Amino acid sequence: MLRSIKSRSSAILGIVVIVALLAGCAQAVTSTPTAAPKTAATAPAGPAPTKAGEATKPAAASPTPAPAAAKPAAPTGTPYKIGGNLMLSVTGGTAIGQDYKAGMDSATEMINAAGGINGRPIQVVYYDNENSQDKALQLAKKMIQEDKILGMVTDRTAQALALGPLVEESGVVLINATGGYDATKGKKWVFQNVPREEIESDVLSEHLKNNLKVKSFALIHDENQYGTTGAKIHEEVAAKKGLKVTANIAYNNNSPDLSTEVTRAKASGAEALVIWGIPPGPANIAKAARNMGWNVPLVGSVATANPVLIDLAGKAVDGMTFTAWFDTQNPDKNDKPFVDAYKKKFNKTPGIFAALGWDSVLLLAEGIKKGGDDRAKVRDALENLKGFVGVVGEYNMSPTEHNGLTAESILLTQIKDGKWTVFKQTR
Amino acid sequence: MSGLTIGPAEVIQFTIGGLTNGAIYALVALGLHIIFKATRVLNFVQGEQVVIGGLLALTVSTTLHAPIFLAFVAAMIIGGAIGYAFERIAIRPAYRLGELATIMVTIGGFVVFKNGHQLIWGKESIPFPDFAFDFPFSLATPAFQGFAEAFLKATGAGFNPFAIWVILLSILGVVAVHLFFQKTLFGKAMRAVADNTKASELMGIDSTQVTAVAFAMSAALAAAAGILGGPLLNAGGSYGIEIAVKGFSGAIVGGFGSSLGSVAGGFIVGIIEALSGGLISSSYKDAISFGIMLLVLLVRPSGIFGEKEVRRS
Repeated sequence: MLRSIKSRSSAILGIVVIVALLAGCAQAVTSTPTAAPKTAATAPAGPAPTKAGEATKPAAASPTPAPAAAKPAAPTGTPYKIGGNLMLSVTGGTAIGQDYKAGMDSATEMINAAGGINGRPIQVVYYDNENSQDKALQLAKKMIQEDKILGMVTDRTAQALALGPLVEESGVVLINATGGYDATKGKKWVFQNVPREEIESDVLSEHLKNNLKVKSFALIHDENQYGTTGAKIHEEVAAKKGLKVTANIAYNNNSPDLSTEVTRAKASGAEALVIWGIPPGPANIAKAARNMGWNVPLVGSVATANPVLIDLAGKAVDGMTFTAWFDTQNPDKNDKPFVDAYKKKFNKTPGIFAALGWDSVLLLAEGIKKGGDDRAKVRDALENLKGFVGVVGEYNMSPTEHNGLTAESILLTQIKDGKWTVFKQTR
Repeated sequence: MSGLTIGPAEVIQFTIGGLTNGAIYALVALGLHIIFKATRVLNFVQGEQVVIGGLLALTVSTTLHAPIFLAFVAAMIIGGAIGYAFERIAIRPAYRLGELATIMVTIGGFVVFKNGHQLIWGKESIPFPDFAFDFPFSLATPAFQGFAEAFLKATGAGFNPFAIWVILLSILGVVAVHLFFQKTLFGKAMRAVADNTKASELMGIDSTQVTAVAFAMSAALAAAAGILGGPLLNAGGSYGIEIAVKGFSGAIVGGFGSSLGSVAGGFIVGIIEALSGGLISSSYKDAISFGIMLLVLLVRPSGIFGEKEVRRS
């Protein structure tokens, strides 16, 4: 008797613990202690002169001009510091902060190799906010007070919203390098470098209507915030464009088989399938659709167009089209410095999160170039930035526009024979 | 979503998806059952061992260029060894302090294993090759593919031919474990220890050895689940806890005390999840499957297939 009560109580304890763990997952709090900055960016002082010379080439095409001299001197003096308030580790989901950091590292290295800013190096101090708003706030205070950063970058809208009041009060620029929600609204110090989701949805809807010639589509989205918000906005925009959304289905990235979700989408009678999420989920969705003989056009959001998608889904994603900001295979002259620097450093094709990290550093560098060590002047310089071309697109900021990206920054890409290509308009 | 037309083809499709997921849950449930049977403890490490199994197989096959079936066996052996070591190092000292302390140790183990594999292999999921066309799987895959195509024509429901491998191999694993318990001396000794540790010790069975082997077996099964699930889930990342929870609810639904019950429970959870996701909404499928788990606990605490244990205090 006693024994059975005991084992029953252990079963109940088990359930309680599971619920607690799941709740923990939802908040994404890991137990990794993070007291000190993870890494103190690139060494500011010492790139060999030949190497610096090499790196000047891309820098010349890039918007951060090297000092006039052909061979830039290695930057000296106190580095200009900026802060990376990133999701470098996470319980549940993907630690996309690592990608941001990779992009930011590439940008920092490129700027410093080209002589730094005003002869001084730039340095990023990274902190792991573990995808927690509390942690992000705590770390932001530390960065502002102790590290004396001139600007901060964050990779999640949730964190950007939490940090808003703090940066407004402290007078430090915050770049929210994500989409999903406009965090710049009514903020003096917050900037964002992702085209508003309405703009992306607009391009996608036109693409569905004019290029793919469909009248209806089913929407499958990740159940996380990115997928849910994106799908909601996309559904509204598409409806305004006269497209019929036959189903709007959430999926879980940790489910082995997603054929249930795809079957529902197929049963809704849609003429196309739009996937809004970050791989691996979209890969399994594409495979499931093809396996059940459902051969409608597949369309993915910007985050779906991750280089890894081809490795994961193979033939199933052939012909799939995406919204994108740059073409990784054949980057144009604005994107080439980024793609080259990233490939050289990490030996793989960069994705969009790295591009956002890169652009964030370049934007802050532009601000610092004019504003120096004065945080308010950095902000003013950013706010008046016009015609600045990054990887994501051309930024035209103003006091009322802290995002500044238009539909022009979005292009359409397609997977063809296992390679990324720019989508050919067949109007 | 009023425009959904759900007919028999869709229901068959949901069931196939459920069976595929269920096969993986069943392997996890069986592993949890074996450890529960031997120690009366819930092993929270199970899900991470699934992840580690997939990662091990991937590493063996890519870095050593070993054929996938060798990687499969190697990952099960290494995974089993890790489970064995975990029992010797962490579980055994805690076991004297009672079941509660031991469960706490497995929760600690969960964190260590999770952070451990993320430290070694990183936090992102890594593409896992579809090994359906590697030897020896290639021998039957074309036939499975033909079957899947014929099935699609006949019913309108299609599936990944690899799913047949997942289901077949997990059933094979279950049968092997069942035979081990029924036919071998060591298996019988394990059952004896589970039934009455003191009495079996008096009969000369080394109960500590039995516990260690239980952990090794369950870890090897977890590794198999990680490899079979590989082409569907990829390797690494953070799916471990979710798989563990599904396996756990499978074991609860089917009956923690019975090996075939736990396995059936794993399949049941997979199918319920797929049907509720398909017919009602995928946003509520977890809520529905956990609701059913709670219902089973209330109505039949020993699980659908579990026998009531009679014990004297």
